[in-house]
Amino acid sequence: MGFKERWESLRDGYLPPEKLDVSGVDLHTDYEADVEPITYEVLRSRLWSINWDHQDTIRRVSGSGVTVYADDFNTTIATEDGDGVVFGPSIQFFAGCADLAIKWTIEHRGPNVGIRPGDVFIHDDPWVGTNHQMDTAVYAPVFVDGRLYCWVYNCVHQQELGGVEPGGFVQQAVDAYWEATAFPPLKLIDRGEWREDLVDAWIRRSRNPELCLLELKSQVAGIEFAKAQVEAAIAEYGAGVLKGVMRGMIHRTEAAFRRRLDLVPNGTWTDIRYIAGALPGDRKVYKMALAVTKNDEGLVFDNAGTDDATGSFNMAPGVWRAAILNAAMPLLAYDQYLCGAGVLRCIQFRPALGTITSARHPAAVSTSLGTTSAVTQAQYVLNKMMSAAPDLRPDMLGASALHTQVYTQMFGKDSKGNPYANFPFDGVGGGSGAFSFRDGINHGGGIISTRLRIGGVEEWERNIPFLYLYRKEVAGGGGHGQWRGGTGLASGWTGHKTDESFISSGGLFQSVTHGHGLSGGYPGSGGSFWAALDTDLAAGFEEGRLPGSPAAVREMAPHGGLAAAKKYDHRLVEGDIFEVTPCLGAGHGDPLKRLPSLVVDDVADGQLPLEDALRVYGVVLDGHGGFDAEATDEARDRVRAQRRADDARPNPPAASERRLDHVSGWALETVCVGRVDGEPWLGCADCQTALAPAYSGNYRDACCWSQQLLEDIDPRVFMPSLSQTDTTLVLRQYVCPGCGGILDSDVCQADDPAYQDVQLEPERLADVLDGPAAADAPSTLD
Amino acid sequence: MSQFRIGVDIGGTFTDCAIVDGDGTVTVGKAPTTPTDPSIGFFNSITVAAEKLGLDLRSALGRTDRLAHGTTVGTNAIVARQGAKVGLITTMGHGDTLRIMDNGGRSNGVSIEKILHYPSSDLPEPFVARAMVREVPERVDADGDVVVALSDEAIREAVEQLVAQGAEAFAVCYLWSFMNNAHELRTRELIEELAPGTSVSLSHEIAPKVGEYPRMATTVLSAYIAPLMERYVATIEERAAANGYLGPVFFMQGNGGLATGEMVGRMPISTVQSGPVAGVIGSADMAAALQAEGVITTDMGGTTLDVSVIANGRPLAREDTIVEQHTLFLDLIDVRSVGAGGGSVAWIDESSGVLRVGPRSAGAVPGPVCYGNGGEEVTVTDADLVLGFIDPERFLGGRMRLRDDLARAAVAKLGDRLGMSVEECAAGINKVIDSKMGDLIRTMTVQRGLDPRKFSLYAFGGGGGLHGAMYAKDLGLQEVVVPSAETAAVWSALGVAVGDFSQTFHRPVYMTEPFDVASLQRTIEVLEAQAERYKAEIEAHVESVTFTRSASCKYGMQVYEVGAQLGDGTLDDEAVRAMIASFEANYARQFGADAGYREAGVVLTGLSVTVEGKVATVPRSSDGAESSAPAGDAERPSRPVYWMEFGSFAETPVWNGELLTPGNELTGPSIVEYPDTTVLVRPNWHLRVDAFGNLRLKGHAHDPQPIDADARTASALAL
Repeated sequence: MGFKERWESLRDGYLPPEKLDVSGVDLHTDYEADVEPITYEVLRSRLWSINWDHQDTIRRVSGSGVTVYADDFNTTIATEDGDGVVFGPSIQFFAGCADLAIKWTIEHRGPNVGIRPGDVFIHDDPWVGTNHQMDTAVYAPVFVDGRLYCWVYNCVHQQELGGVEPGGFVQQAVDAYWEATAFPPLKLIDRGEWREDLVDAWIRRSRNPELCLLELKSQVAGIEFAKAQVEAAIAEYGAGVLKGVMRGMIHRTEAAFRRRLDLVPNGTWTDIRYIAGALPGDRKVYKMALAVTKNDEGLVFDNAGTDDATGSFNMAPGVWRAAILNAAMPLLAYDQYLCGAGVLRCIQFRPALGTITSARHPAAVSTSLGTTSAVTQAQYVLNKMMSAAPDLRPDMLGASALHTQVYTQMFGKDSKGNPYANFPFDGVGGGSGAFSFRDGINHGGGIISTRLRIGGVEEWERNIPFLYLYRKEVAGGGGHGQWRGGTGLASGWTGHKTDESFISSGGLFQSVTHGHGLSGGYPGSGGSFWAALDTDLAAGFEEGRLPGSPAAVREMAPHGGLAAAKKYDHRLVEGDIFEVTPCLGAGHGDPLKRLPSLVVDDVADGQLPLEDALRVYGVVLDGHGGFDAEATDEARDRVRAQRRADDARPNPPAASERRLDHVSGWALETVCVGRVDGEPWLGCADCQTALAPAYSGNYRDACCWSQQLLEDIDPRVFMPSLSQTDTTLVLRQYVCPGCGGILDSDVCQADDPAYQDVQLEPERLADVLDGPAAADAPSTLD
Repeated sequence: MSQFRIGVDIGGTFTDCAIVDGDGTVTVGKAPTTPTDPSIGFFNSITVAAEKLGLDLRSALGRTDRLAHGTTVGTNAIVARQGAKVGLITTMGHGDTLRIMDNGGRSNGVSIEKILHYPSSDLPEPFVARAMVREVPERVDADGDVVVALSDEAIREAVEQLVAQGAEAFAVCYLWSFMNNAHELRTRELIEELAPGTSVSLSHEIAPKVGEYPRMATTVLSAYIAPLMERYVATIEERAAANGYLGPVFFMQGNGGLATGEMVGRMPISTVQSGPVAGVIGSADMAAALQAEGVITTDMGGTTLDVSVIANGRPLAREDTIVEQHTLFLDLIDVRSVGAGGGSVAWIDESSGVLRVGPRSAGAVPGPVCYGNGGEEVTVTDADLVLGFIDPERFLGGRMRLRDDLARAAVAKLGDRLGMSVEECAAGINKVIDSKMGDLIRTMTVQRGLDPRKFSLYAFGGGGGLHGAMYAKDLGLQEVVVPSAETAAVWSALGVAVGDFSQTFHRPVYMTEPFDVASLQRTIEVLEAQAERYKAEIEAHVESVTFTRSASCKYGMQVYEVGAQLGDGTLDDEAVRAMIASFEANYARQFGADAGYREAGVVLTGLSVTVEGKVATVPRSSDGAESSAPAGDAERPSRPVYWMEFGSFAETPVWNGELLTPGNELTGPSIVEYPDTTVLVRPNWHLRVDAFGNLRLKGHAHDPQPIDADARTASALAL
């Protein structure tokens, strides 16, 4: 591998070849092919336990709240050639980055810099494989008999590595030169000796070099710990046996993943969505497209149709790949100890280079779109795919916390006048999306990290010169649906004992939510920022008044309003108020299917305004803590009729009156496959109204289009898209012309054509139609 | 006439009593637990033990100078959600703290399997309904400065409403109350005025630590069990007095120290998790008698294995725990659990085709297949039976006849799917479960910079003697001690009987170098004043009282704190330097010499004073003639047992443990049976009964090599 290949990988982004080009280092590839099952399970647990303790070591040594509270890091043990065997339950995203870093290092550092016992490498180059420049990977080879046996790796979000905005999420970046300088893999420790020149180079970029050094040390402490434990396991069981277990874990994860995929009909599921917030003040919306094709070999992901890289919100191709893995593991391999390599064996990636989701260097990438929007989109298309398989539906999870990126970096001077920089995590908190059989979990977080904590109010107040006026649960909560999304929180702050302090409204434009609902469920809000400067808080404090809720601050500071998005320096000193409301979980299923008794509970619990019980759920409350069953049935019928009557198109097609003669499979949970006159058709899974020929048609065109402005869903949690963009966005619901049920939905412009979200593979349709798939599955047909 | 110490421990099924006389002789009594009124079982168990001494309850209590008690009443009320209706008063804007749970409630204390599979996880059921929460305007900042003054009017209104809604207990938790407690104290005054006699828990008293969510959760749970515990304590005290006991009754706390009923009344939450802790205290006491420095205690029951570590004679402690998915600030002996017990289910992961064991348990119903109650899933107990470790006729002293035929068939079916023989599969189930235990022990020691090879293992519980040797061997532990059967059965009660007093008083500070020594001295004086008050309460009941100061520190930019010793006397620069040195040494031991960053400075985050009231040590009785050969009638008919070390069955001698006497020795493979447990002496292991009746097992623990094939044949032949 020469300069040319190396430089191409750093420009276009590295994706590993099928077979690595290895020179300069001997790989230890021997393994016992047939480890008996008991030893296998013993060592599988041991690897998990080592990796877990590796995390704990980092957590305890690290000085970073990002690490300790939000678990914004991860660890892995990888095979000699970089295949990830086991990951920890923190940020899942790094699972798809670790192998890139290690494989790149083998290919490009093996021949020249060399890989030797006692070496430790470090890098933070997004085009090699890390989310953004702050995500610093530290990793080391483990040698057995002079040959490279395996790797231990961790990646930690280091809090400050430079860039024009403190904290490094550079909202105004138009290219990578605005951001922290990325370092491709460097040898931080050479055969046991720290390279002080590299330590200096690394921390020199930082506004907080001491913290940065401490973070480095925590990472190296973790690496040393994990390495010693792996070496002990090798000594105890033998290198061949342990490697046999690693290979076995990959193999078995692959098998488990494939077994689940086998339940899904061959076909392609597509999502095309809008995203906004490329730069502060950029009022354009952009397209992000993703298609997953399930075929006999596995899955193929493709992002053709995505707009070209722009502004600050891009990601490198390897990051896009990692985002997809991040979504696939907890949905389809949750019981395999997060073995990334096993899942990756089943997936092909076809990145469209130069796009937002597969950008070339030097596109700006620091705002971390990959871990949020790309994961959310991958989660969405995988969920849709899974919804075609009844046995996989219980594992679905709707769009959750962080689906539309929200975060708040802070900097300024603390109460003693010393400079500070910090990152309160309230913005990353949020509800889980709904499941296919129950409501989402309030404050449950999402699959970006399986343990997304936000730290306590007092912990943050001890370190940041501000007061929490409130940290409250958002009433009105998550997205509507048969099953509701989980609700989240809203936090309001005021500056305290400081005359110089700033907070960012980081992330995307929240008015363009990515919390799209599934199977007819409503979206979850993308959150919001709200601010009021120079209020009379101080006078109120004197008089014993403490505005302790979003409503109370709005009442006391009527001059406040939505805060400009993507601004890194909103002032937050005494008298100023800043509020963040992070994302709320998306709903699942048509809300008219929600049990009326649950709607009664929602109202009683303050989670649903009384008028929405009727408007959205068609439930008529009886005023005595119950509901009127008969009136509810009538109201629901009226809503269904209304949906069918109000088609948003000027010339809607005539409603289909044909029915499928039987149901033999599914394209989506709400769209089934059957026959009409012997020909395969798609139809409504509830009433079997035939909608479109299965090979060639788009069922959405045959649906009624019920459209409403996003803010009309609930003006308390959805802001108008025109408040941040020049585009009017609507929630478009595809309604069955037969029964009036919602089959699916999009967040789009009012006159956008309906893209085809599912296309079953024609030559395999026969299998779906005649195969046993539907035999055991619930069907509404007798 | 010598005086008694009595310890009573209420368990799920039995209430155990240990009466220790002045010579250290232990007499045990067991009575069924009486869930509706646990005090009945309490006194019944004493009656049973007293009868063995030829005494009735009244005469036994009349000779008792200390009656101590470990109770799960509080824990049970929490788990079963049977506590009081709590009214919670908190700072304006923060009434949802227990709902939000720092966004971590879904995964708090939940098994990793559930954490990774979202649909299987959820938040805990709340302990306070939203309608029972009141926010009041008041605010203190991180420095303890009042930002918004408390309004009496708002408190009165809140209290009146909550009383009207049926509040049975109050919890008050304001932000930063531990830095300035005036608002919480004033709130209590008002509650006492408006709702006299109602229990009030204040967060700065219950859990004076940074972190409003765990502090509020601890305060609310304390309030939740307060009325119940108050009644319970009063009942025990009254009945003890009515039966002739003259002294105060003491209660075991989760920190391993005893408390008076009045102290429990002030902080009922301190009794939570005291059950497993009492056993650890018993172990520490035994460790002292055996002069063992480092001990790992394991208690293997039906569903979990509880592990604790005693280093340098002291059980390792922690300052927080998770109860019902809520994080609590509680000083506790660190007892951790893994889902690995006799009832753990062995299953095949359908998606990858490999054998897994636990964490799910078959429970008591239907229980293991061999119980014959319709259980179809193979458990660890079934595997033990198939291997011949357990005699189906003698399980639970013969009270239950096990169905080895059913167990064998079920294990065979599982083995078929794995391509293994029935014995291989059973041995494999054991190995998997033993290695899980090993992983937990490794985490609890290695993670803290402790070398497990320097420790002995105390194996308790029904499964301890069966499995202890295996995980001890994997970890290279020194020795396995199975406590003498008679005392093992009431080990927790014994721990209660011999326990000391202990209480730690904390005060958070937040101070960077250079430290203000005078201010630290003032804080120490406040803490020691609290300590003195505590001392006055316990002085009459103990032989000596010590105060130990400690500090928690961290490096400037770190989050996690590490403890440091702090010297006696008036603080000066020298004492502070020594404290820093102690912190740095502890830090380096835990994380490695290079891991810290001294240049960032040391931050002092808290000071504590721990009061320990030592009771007089009971001499351990060690009677019995010493003879290496067991009495002939101790031997039972041998039976074939499958030893993994041989890969085959071998005819194995079986001994009646109740007839073994101090000095007896056995070589493995052998089996020692007791009514409630079985102890394996594995091949190449050696057993000696020590002077206290403990079984001491030693093996080739330091030999990491598996026994080679020739040796295997040789020892098989030697049989």
